[in-house]
Amino acid sequence: MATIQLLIGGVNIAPNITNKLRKKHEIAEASLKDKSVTIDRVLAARMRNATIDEMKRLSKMSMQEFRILLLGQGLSAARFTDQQLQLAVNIEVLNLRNIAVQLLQADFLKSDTPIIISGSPKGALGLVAKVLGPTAVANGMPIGISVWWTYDSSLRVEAIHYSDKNNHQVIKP
Amino acid sequence: MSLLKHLCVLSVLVFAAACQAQTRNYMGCDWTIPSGFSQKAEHEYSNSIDENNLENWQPASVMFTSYSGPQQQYYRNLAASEDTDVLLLEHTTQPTDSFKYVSSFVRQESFGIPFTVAELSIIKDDKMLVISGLSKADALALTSGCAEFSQVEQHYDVLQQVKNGQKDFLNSAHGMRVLVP
Repeated sequence: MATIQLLIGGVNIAPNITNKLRKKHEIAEASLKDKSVTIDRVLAARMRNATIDEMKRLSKMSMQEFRILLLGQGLSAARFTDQQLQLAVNIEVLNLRNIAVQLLQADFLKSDTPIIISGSPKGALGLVAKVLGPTAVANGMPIGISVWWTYDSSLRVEAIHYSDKNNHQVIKP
Repeated sequence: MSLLKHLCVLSVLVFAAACQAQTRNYMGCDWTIPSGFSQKAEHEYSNSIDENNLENWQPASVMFTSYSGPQQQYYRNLAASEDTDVLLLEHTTQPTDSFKYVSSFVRQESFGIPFTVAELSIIKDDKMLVISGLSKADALALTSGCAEFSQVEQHYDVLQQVKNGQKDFLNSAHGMRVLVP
């Protein structure tokens, strides 16, 4: 971020623009435009990876382990049979799949879905992303995921939190 | 000589496949666990995620568990969500049949993508096998020699009918007992 701002500022205060500075300005402008898209895509790719990891975890979880997970969130699953819990897991894994598919398409910011976006990426992530591409960056930068369950009429996911030092995104299915 | 050699190779392959197939004895019958499924608990099996075909992949599970009566209320609670359609059906069986069959279909739409979770419960006394998300071929292979072929097939026929909504199915002469809605 600092590098890009410096390049733009340098152009604005220079009365005599050399070819070298003009080139820097063009690169900076292109980087800035690209970055606003690329970072969103990187975040989407990181969130997608985390979502798939959670799908894998839930798919391989026994119902006894799932009961313990719910208990950790203050929910007693004593009223549910193993069949009912497995059905809830299968439904929510499909919901997670749909989120992962949305993130895969990298157009989730434009789609009409109840996704709450907050926070902003910092540092030189944009420049790194530009060189390596969103997926490569995402693979090296995992983001944490927490799935919170609730019980109203049925057992379901209430919210999915994605977070790291600089970001906190919440998806409410 | 060449034919004999081929027959030997074929026999070895069939034997190897038979050895690889995992079976589970339950309710007095041997059920064949589909290949690619892994055991996650003593009575539970599940498939693996296909990341290369995520859009068409769906979770599948096989569970050997106890049966404590019909669960209409649970499915009614599920149907209370405005984005969820639920269909719970009891198959018609003969008094001489070994098992009872119950199918459930839960249809939801999230992020603009609809999906249906289908469960087939095969019940005998206080025990039950629940299969969910299996392909028809896997379900038929799993239940082969145990459950009625026609009952398993009927489950998948109904699934095809209700993928786009249950109205047409409910108005048809399906011959099944509708428990929910």
